[in-house]
Amino acid sequence: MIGAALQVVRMAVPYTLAALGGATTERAGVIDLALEAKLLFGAFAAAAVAHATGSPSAGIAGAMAAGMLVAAVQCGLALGLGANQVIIGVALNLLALGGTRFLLQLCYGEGANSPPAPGFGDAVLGSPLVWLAIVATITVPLATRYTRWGLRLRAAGDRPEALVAVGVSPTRARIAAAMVGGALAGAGGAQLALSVGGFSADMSSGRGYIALGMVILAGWRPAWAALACLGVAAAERLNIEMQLRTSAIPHELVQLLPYVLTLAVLVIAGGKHRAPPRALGQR
Amino acid sequence: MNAGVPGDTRLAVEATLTKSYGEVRSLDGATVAVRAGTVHALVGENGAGKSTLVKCIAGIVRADGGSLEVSGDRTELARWDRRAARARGVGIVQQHGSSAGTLSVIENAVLGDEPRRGGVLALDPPAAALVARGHALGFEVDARASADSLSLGAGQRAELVAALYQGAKILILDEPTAVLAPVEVDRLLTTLRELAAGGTTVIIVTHKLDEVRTVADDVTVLRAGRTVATFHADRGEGGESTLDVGVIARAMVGDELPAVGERVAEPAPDAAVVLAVDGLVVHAGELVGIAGVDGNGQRELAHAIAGLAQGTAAPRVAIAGVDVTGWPTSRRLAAGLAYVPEDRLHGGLVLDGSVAENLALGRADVTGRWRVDRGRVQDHARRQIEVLDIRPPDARAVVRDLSGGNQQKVVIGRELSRPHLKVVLAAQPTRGVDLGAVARIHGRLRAAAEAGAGVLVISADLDELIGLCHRVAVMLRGAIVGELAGDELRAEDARSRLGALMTGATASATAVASAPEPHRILDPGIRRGDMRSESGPGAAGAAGAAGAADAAGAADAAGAAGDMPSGSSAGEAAVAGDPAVAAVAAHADPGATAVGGGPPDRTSPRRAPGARLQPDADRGTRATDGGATRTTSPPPPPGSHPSALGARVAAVLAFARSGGTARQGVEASAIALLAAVAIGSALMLVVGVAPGHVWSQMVVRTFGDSYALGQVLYRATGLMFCGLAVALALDAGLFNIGAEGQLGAGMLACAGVGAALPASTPSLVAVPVCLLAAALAGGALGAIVGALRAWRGAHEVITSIMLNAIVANVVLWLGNAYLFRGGTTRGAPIVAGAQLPQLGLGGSPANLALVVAVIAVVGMTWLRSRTTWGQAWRAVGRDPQAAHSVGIAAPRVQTIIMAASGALAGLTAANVVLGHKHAFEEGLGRGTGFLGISVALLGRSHPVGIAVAALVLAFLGAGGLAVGDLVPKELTEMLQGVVVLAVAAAGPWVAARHARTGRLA
Repeated sequence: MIGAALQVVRMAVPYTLAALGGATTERAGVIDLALEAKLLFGAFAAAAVAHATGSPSAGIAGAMAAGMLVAAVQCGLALGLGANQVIIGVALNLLALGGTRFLLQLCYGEGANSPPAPGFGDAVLGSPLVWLAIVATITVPLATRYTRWGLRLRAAGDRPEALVAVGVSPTRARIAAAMVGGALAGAGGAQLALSVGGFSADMSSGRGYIALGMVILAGWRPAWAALACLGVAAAERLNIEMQLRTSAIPHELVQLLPYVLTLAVLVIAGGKHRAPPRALGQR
Repeated sequence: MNAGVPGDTRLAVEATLTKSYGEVRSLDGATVAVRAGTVHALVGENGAGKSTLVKCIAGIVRADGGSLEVSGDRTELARWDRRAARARGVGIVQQHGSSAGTLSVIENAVLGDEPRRGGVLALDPPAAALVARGHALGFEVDARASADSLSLGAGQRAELVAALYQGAKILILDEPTAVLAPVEVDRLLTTLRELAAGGTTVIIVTHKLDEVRTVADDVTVLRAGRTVATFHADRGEGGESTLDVGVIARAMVGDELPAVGERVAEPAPDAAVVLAVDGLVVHAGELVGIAGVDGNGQRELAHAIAGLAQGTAAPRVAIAGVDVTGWPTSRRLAAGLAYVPEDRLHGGLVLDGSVAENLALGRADVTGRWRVDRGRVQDHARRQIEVLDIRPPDARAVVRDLSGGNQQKVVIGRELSRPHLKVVLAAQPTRGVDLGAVARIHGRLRAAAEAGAGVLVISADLDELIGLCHRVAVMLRGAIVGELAGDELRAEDARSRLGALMTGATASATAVASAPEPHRILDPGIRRGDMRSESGPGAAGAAGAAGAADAAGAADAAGAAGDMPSGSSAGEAAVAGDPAVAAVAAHADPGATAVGGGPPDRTSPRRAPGARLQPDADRGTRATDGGATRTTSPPPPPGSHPSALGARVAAVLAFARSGGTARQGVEASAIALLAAVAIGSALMLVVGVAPGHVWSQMVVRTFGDSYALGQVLYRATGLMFCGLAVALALDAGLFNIGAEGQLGAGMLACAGVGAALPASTPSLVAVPVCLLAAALAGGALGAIVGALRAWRGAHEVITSIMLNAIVANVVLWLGNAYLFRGGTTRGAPIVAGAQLPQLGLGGSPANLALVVAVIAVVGMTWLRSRTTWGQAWRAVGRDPQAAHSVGIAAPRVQTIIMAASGALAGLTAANVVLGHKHAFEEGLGRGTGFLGISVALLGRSHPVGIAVAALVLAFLGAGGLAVGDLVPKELTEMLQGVVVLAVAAAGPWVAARHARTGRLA
């Protein structure tokens, strides 16, 4: 039982880290469809760095840097140039899909898989990424609430004019938030790669989109988003469990549960659902 | 005037400022001198420049010129921003609040200078200080409550206390009492006097003269951006002010008579009633004006008449004797209504459309029922351009580029040229419009009245109403408080009498102000012309109370006789002998009887009884009941969900149009492609090959080899379907990120049906049936997303993402459970008859689906430019509010378009299943849906552009494979992403560049 719970936690790590990153970025007013790109580039960087250095911890650092790099490009185009944030997100995701494959080809001469990268072993709690996710689940909501960084990022997402009025640049507050968000999502990517001992093309397979969905479902509250991600992981785990035994319910449909639930909430709550940050998507 | 400012007193603020917004001069050297430690009132009509003046002083708006001294020090206007003003002790409490709603009161107060202990915010000491500050003023402030959770009054008090906490010595309040209940007003005014007594300087912007009398030491009156008078009050021991509100009211509205244009003859006494809403009636051939300070219910009245505010709270409306309550706008327009919305930029015009398009918007009588008759649209446009002298006289000019006056002429031209006109509702028809345009617009309104229509003009401009109308009624706090007609309107004192009614500044005004609820003033029994301003609001209030009882009786009578009683059953209420009008009038708000009765309902989120047509406080409809004031969200206008998520789509659209012009769009796409080529070349250099060689080989090998060419065409076919799908949705204001799921469902349905057909099914049956199945499957998914968006306000991006995930799993399940055979991931083959023949290009999979795609491109081009349907969906996409106000049902259009978009995505199956694979396989067409977004954006969502963009991206993909021996194919895959990124970046860049060069030119 505990073992199963730990497996769920392990599977929740990429979702959770991405969702916490997404919640941070979006609360500051930047639309974060690029979560998928951050996961994917993060996963590649983790595998590549861990392979090169032999240290999975260095891989995590590489993944976080990669996530921040994506966030930097995102901010540059969205906040600097004023490009549309939804399109930037979709474009970065496409770029990540092709880009990681190109990098695989460039670095290792093949387009599908990276060479094996060292991980943290089979013990779930032996992985610093699991602990990072747990710690982040606790600290991100607290930091958003109780630190100056958090206060300013909330103000930037809600009413940037209020920040301007006191001489603080909302753009800087947003970049500061997006960097943290990028690092978190990048770390989520590291979990994808390091838990299976290497990178393979498209290994994020839509997790970034799902994480963003959970952020919206949670009404942009990071703690709730993390909880929702745990639900997604539980459904995913159940799917795998049920594949191993025969069951009346098709296992593929079990995995639908969180998505159907999300839709149901959107349908029932409709427009009355918790409002997004007021300045979301504005330059 | 009666007193200057005593020269020996220290001045806290001395300002002489100018400020223009575009062509409109908001401040024209307005001067104000505020003595330290006094309460200074700034008064004036709407648009006089009061708010602009205080915003300049507070550093929110930068003045164009003039001088500003704060506490005796001259400020540098160019550097005077909010931060500088705050540092100098200038605090402001804005009309609609300026605090971040999700932040708590104390968080807002400390923003920018946050006290911290060990890296963590230390909010307890400042919160205690803030609460103490509030206590000193007699306010309970909950420092930990989020700003959004506070009532408007409590929020305002919190902002006031926060401003003082931040050290404000000069406190500016912009129309602070507009959002307050009477009890709160009294409290606030007392507080302001106390603050001034304690040495704080208070500047209060208001238009309520009884408040000015209560609170002000000095008064500055602004009109048209200039200071026209100043007054000084001597306060005796009892605090009784010497200010004469009558004199101030005259100064506000001015005393020169407006130039009276030629008047339309009074309507015949027996003229039929063409419009009845609550107690207000308009007769055929009559011009009726609604005067009032903005925000006193005029907008709600207009929305009620136009059918834009549906719901139980909407009053009953009759047009030409027909009860139209509950009718959608389109039916009201068809019944003879013309509606000129108050804000041409938000709801009146599709700004990116041409003059001709806008003149024909929603006008089926001009365009034709289905196919747009371009000749007639052009003729119509030419006629209106001539009649109204629209400049430039070019039917193809984009409306955004027109001046305000000419934009308004377009709205007037469209609305007043409707056939069978019965009622014209014109809200602020000449706001911000130059004099020449005013004359033309007034001419058209007069002509409409002469032709027998009843014209209702809502305006903040008294001159306009006096010059134009037969009768002017005044709205105050949601009710009509009096009216002037005939000779009274031409008398010299008409302006000041109207002004007094508007501001509630008559002797009996206090009686109304202290009443717990705004009364229904006009009761159904009052006939046209019976109501005169001599009776005054106080007397009218009493009449209203009596009238309310009558109304109840009449309502009972009407109820007994059914919804449409004959004239006699509601005889007393009959207005001009029109039974339907009587019914409407009698039905109007029986809740009014509750005014004098039981206590108002404090918990119901619905409007309090009697508080009808409450002024709309920017975002929410306020229900005022006793001391409590709260905000309830207005029902979202269909298709324009007011969430920030909705703004995403608007932004996507703005992007897709890239500043509006097609040339900029093409330019941006070209730049994006060049950028992609440059980045690709750079990457090739990294890989160590010569870019020139690779690119040329790519062209040679793809176009020189029929198989490779076929690959390009095969890929382009699928991209065209998905690109069209995304573009169609974009056209209607929706972002279809779900093409991926829709095409997956299409594949499954197509292959499933294709395999299930009898083996001997002929092609003529099998192919259409399979196509239909694919389209239906994709369309159903699209319809779900569209319907959720339109009616539940659920954002399509998030519902699509969820549906994508759901479809992927369901498809996998169906495949595993029913389709996949013998351990493979391939289903049963489709029947031979359902297979689309291949084009025979070197054995490539290019097939006849290409023809289907080309037909789709041509069909969509035709639909969107030549049919009323295309016009409707593009109007919805460009401006849902404008579409709504001309009677296009945005939710229905968006749902249908989303379904059609899904169907197009589903049709990708024709290419993959019918043309190539001939069976269902796992992962068919994966990624095409997302690439479709790139195609739509690169093609600027124009069907032909999409065809080109699909070919370009297909060339990149297939060409990459063809030169696989030179560069890794992943390079070109990546370039597809680079292209989209470059398009996204190039759009704003090009727009900014054009704006720059435009300014220089």
